[in-house]
Amino acid sequence: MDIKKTALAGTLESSDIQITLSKGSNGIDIDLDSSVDELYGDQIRKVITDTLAAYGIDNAEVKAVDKGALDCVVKARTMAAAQRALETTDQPDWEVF
Amino acid sequence: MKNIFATGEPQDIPAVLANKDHRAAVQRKLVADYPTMTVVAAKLNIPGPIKNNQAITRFFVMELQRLEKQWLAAGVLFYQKGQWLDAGTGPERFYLVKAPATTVKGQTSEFEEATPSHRLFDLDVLVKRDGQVQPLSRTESGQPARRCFVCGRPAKECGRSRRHSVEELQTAVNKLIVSALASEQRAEVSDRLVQFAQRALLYEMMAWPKPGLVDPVEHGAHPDMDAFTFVNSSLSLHRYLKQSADLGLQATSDDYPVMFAELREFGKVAEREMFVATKGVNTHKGAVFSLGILVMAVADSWRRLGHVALNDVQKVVKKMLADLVKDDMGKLPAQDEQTAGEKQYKKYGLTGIRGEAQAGYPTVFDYGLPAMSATKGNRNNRIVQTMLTLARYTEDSTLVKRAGNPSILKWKDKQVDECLAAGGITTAAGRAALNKLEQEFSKRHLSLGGTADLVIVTVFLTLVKEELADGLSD
Repeated sequence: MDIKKTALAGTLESSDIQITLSKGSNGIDIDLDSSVDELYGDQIRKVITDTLAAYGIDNAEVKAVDKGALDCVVKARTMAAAQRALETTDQPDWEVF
Repeated sequence: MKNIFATGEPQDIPAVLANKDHRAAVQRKLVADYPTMTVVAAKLNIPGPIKNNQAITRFFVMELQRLEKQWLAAGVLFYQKGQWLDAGTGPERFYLVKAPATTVKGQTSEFEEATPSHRLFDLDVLVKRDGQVQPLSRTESGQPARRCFVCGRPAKECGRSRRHSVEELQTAVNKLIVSALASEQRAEVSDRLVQFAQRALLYEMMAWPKPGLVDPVEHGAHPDMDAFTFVNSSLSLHRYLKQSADLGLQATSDDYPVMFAELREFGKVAEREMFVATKGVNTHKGAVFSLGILVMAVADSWRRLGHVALNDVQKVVKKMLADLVKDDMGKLPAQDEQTAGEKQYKKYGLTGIRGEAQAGYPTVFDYGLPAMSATKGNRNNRIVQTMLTLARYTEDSTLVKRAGNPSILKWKDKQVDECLAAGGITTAAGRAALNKLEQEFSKRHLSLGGTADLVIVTVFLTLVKEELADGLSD
């Protein structure tokens, strides 16, 4: 599925992550900014990639600003961003969660 | 230990995230609307599904009073701008502060480090950067990153790795909040005791008619003072009464002789402050002694028992003053510096207020408090009737001093007996006798100053019993 518009979900509050999705053509390209990148960067990237895959998104530019989010928060914010980018709904579908 | 997490509405991830979105929107608006102020967002870090309940809200509000105090002391102007205290996701509040963000960040970090329980606070100082509103980080303002409140490792690592179980985290949080609330409760009890004590001082003066004492209607027995002098005197004792309460509430040992020695030194300063307030008139010297002792004894008892028990209060007084008469009368000051009580001990062997105090104020406990309980009607009636009862059973050293002879005590007993037999203030005949007695005391310049101190103590203990006993039982 293709991204229809640039979309954002999440905040810069602690324990949150802000995900911005925009059109891409080169697979999932993640620009991650996290203070725990060294320890958890790969895990965060994996959760984002897996979640986008569940929505059938194979190409996207992802900007992720992490403030210590847990995996479940990374997933929830990615879902919300994906659904907004696909213009399916503004609210995440928690059933997918 | 009480478990505060036994109550509260469990929160799920969507609720917590929706609240973050809401908070971010509020913050964006505040930063846009008040460009000359620094926006501070106050919230708690409570891990686990329960993020709010009565204890958590109370903790939040109480501790933020300290932040406000800190700003007041620093001369920083601020005001509260919006809050949600009852939200299931946790209590939150916003402040607008008139100071640069980096300065405010230094102050909020100081608050977060001030006590162990402040570790649970998250005070974000918001700045606009790259078009987005975001919190100033601790490292940006030269502060060390926060540590985990369970193990002391960097907090971000423990948070991300879920190193600690929810139970482990809740146990740590519970301990911090329960102990902070206990200390806040002590502060509240201290404030209440000071208020009771000052109300007792003022109530005693306001009750009318009182033979040989000052009231707002007449003060013939004491031409050098009036009701206003007593207001000034009562207010001047605030600091001393606070010291007395804190001494009992904060003590870490039961070393009563040392506590009493400390109290007496506070009392000497209080006397000087009283004399400044009254321009040299002795209004409350005896009350400084007795009320200070009782305030401290109630505070001490409350600290140990967590509630008020007057029989325990009396035990504390007895322990504290076990050697008072022997100690004080064994080293009397030079004769021209002796008080009426000291002179009368020497001359007549009367132990006066020291004897009464050392015995645990039996006149107050055996006569004053029962009279106060037994008398129906308004506060004035209760206090006057109690005053008559106490007058009857007190070897009043002020009265002996004014009369120049202890034989006045027998005359006093007879007069008061007649007045009480007629019903005291509760009957027309009693009131007539009371008015006559008041006139006679004024005419003869007789005083019941010693009795007044016991009235004050009785009123104080009554207020403690009626207004503190149930009020703070949680």
